[in-house]
Amino acid sequence: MGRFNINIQPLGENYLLCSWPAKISVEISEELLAFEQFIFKKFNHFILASNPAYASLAIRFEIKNITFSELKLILLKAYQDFVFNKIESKKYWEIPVCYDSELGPDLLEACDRTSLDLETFIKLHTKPFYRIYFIGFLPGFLYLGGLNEKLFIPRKSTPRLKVPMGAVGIAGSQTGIYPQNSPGGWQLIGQTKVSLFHSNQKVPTPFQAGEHIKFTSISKADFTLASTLPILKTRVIHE
Amino acid sequence: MNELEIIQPGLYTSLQDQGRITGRNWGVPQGGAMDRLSAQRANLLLNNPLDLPVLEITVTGPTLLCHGDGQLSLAGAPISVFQNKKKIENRGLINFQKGDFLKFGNTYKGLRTYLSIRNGFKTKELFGSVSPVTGISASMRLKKGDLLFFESAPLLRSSNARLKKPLLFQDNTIKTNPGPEYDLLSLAQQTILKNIAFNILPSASRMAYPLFPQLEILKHSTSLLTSPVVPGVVQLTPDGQLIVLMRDAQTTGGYPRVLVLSEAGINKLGQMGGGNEVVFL
Repeated sequence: MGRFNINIQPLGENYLLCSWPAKISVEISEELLAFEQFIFKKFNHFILASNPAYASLAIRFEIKNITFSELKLILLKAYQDFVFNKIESKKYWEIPVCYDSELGPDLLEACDRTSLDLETFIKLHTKPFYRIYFIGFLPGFLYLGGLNEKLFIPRKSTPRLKVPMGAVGIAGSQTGIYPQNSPGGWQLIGQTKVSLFHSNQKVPTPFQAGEHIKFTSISKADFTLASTLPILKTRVIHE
Repeated sequence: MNELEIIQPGLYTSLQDQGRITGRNWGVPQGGAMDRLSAQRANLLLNNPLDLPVLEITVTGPTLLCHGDGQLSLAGAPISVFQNKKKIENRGLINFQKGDFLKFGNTYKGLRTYLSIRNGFKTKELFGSVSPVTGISASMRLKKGDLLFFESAPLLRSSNARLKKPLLFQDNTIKTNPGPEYDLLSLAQQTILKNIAFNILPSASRMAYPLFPQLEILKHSTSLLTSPVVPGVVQLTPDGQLIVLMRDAQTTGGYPRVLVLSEAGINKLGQMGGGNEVVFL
């Protein structure tokens, strides 16, 4: 039996929304991802798609002539039968980032705002293993958790019209990487050459919810050199 | 394989099917015809499978040069058609021959016309759909010189297939269901949502239709953890503005989801645009 009170609602005509208590918590995220896997196994032929977020999961069932309340009963029963087992052997990825005031135009301001010197700032940003809670918003965008509180900076009051692919930024308690060129309001502190999304591949991203990433600091010379390669490869540092 | 060549693309012309189901877990938007029903009807006229790719024409139509013989169908908003500069009566099906120029005028009584071709356009799918979306597709719409591939098919002398009633919207009401955060609204706010005519802002796009006016009474300070969204979700911003997410919407969002449009409601809204008025039921 699941360990929380979950709430099930329709989300449009095709999706069900399962909601856990609205918190960013490793415990909730781990259970939610395990439950997603559990129902995929259990209802293999009847689930077309699903996508998790921090504390909610959208599920698309394909069963003819079934009502929402019937589906809800089925899901609640499944949650009762569900036994939480942490999904083990998840990957830990390394992502090389060049922290530089040219590549991260807000880096120096971010140091000022947090009253940290550049070295400490980079040290604090490269220290944690950030949990990938889910992928959403844009193709390949990783929602990461675990930013050090000292690095919390509000997003920019006016978003930039163009943020380059690979830009690494901070917005409030979140840190993340722009998977492609797009407008955006995050404080930019560096850039990576790691490509987060490959639309020509069947599985377009190597990353999965529940895995972890760690940033490592590389020099501008290494970053520039990497630009001559197709992409700088990510590396699994622990499995 | 034959081609239709885009001589002029029109205002916003793109290839669309019924959208993708997979890819949400990677953040890939669903995409697909804004008015899915009309896209299906265009295919139905040619006896095609209903989910084949069609051209979605928005407001101003394209000019096409035919590099082969074939037959096409039109559904959705009515549009004027000129074949080799001659205006032709269009009851849904048009035969064309190699060398023909087909020029489409402006849509009326609706924003979007769907053009299907016998046996469908042959084009590359990404994650189970041809529909272009931000982040995975090089370009979102067709441009001058682009080629649309199709297999040649014998011309039908005549066909009885036609749409009895053009799909027009007779009124401006849109059927909705309560969204996941509907219950967080006060009774007064819930009442207002269904009793005000909202205007669609000119910035309406395939991703989202922002509505006007922003209402004082709908202002709120509820902050929501980022959670899944689907086309048809009506978001309420802290400033009291409603935003209807459409086919190319992102996969997750952080504003309260106060209403969700029915599928028929999304199709209907897809035929409306900036300046049109909507009332939620």
